[in-house]
Amino acid sequence: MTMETMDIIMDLMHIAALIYLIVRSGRRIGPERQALASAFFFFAVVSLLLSDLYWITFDLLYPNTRLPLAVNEISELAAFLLLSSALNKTLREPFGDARRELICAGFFALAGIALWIAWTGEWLQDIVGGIAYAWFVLCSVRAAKLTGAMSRKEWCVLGISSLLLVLGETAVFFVPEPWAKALDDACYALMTLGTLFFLVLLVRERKRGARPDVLLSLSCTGMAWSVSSMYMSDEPYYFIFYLGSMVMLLFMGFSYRREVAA
Amino acid sequence: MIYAENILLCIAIPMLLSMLFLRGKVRRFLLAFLVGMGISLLSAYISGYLTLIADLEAEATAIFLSPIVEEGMKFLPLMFLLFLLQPEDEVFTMAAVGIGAGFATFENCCYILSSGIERLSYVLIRGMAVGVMHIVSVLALALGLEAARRFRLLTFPGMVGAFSLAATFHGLYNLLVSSPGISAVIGYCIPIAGALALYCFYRRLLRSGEKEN
Repeated sequence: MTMETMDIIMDLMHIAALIYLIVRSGRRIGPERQALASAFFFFAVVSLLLSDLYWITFDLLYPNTRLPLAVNEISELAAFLLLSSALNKTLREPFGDARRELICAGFFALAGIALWIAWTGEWLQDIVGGIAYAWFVLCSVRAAKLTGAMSRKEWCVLGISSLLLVLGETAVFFVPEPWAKALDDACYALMTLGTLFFLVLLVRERKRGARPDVLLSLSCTGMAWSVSSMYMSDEPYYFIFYLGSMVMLLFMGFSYRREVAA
Repeated sequence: MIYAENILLCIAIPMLLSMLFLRGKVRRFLLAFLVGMGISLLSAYISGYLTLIADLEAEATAIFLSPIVEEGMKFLPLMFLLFLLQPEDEVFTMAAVGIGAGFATFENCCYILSSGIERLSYVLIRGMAVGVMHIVSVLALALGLEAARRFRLLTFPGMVGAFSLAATFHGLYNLLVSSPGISAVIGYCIPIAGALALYCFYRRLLRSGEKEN
């Protein structure tokens, strides 16, 4: 199977997941607090779907052409902002101390944006999309901290992994070729382990019957990690993180359903 | 080469004069229509300028930049209306339709005059597709904003979300019709499908408003 075929299959799977989420979340829109979160989530998923459709159409009509700044970037930006707002609406205790985690998350997000610019050279696109992404990372980490979704040990693991990832990806630019390849592979392994870490946490909390806001904050933080890994990867690793972000999005949809029902 | 400003003046002056003799909703609609034509001209100026500074071809501008510029320009009068005049949903929807219709009319006039198309079938397709598309995109924007206002989502992310829906829909249409064949056919059908979907959404919005009252 070629990478192009795999790419199309993944895009179609993503579209199917988004349509499913649109149908499920569209019914629960209303003026109540939890239903408002669902409305934000609904519009975020619609934005992602339109972005996907634009991207697929462009890829089919103009294969092997790099997409410049286009409307799908606006859709992705809107989706991150809407997902952040949806998450903030679900927080039962909106105030609390998460300064340490927010500083680390801010550093990780900014380092990610700088690395994307260094890889692609597309300043405008990466800054426009990156600001919304950074906001999503900050909101997710804040929600995960305030809901107590992760233990102290798990925060330490996440912090160290993030730091190693940023240092590793930065070092790839400076070390000579055989080492750069090894370092790059190590980064891919770390990103995969990070995605699995969030999946394990989500399954564990679900089994424990955790509150929907805990599941939501975990799935959002997991999605932030997967999206970041996606943007840092090349094919075929890209597909692993694409699948990871899809699973996180589905978890988010289930959690909003429980949140509205709660 | 055509002088778009002259065309705008020729269409706008009789309309402006007729506004003296009109009152109420018809007058407001005509005003929105004129605003739509005006922003169509301004959008063309901005897109032209961006084409020059980004060193893009006309087709690339139509696919990538025009949807953002045009929807952004339609967004501005709607924001003005929403925040400064705070109209009721019905008036807001009517203003949006007027802006979309004015925009599409002026763009179609300039396109047909500049390219000198004589085939009636193509003119009809163009009218049905572009005409409906501009109305659908601005109506999606307006309905998105109305829904955001009703569900208290009228925040920065809510507005960016509504704008992104309209811009991506427009971008998708421009992208599909940029290439001949089946993609263009799908592209020409998209505005009609979008209009039907919006009609259903509008009916649902009206019903939810009646329930609230």
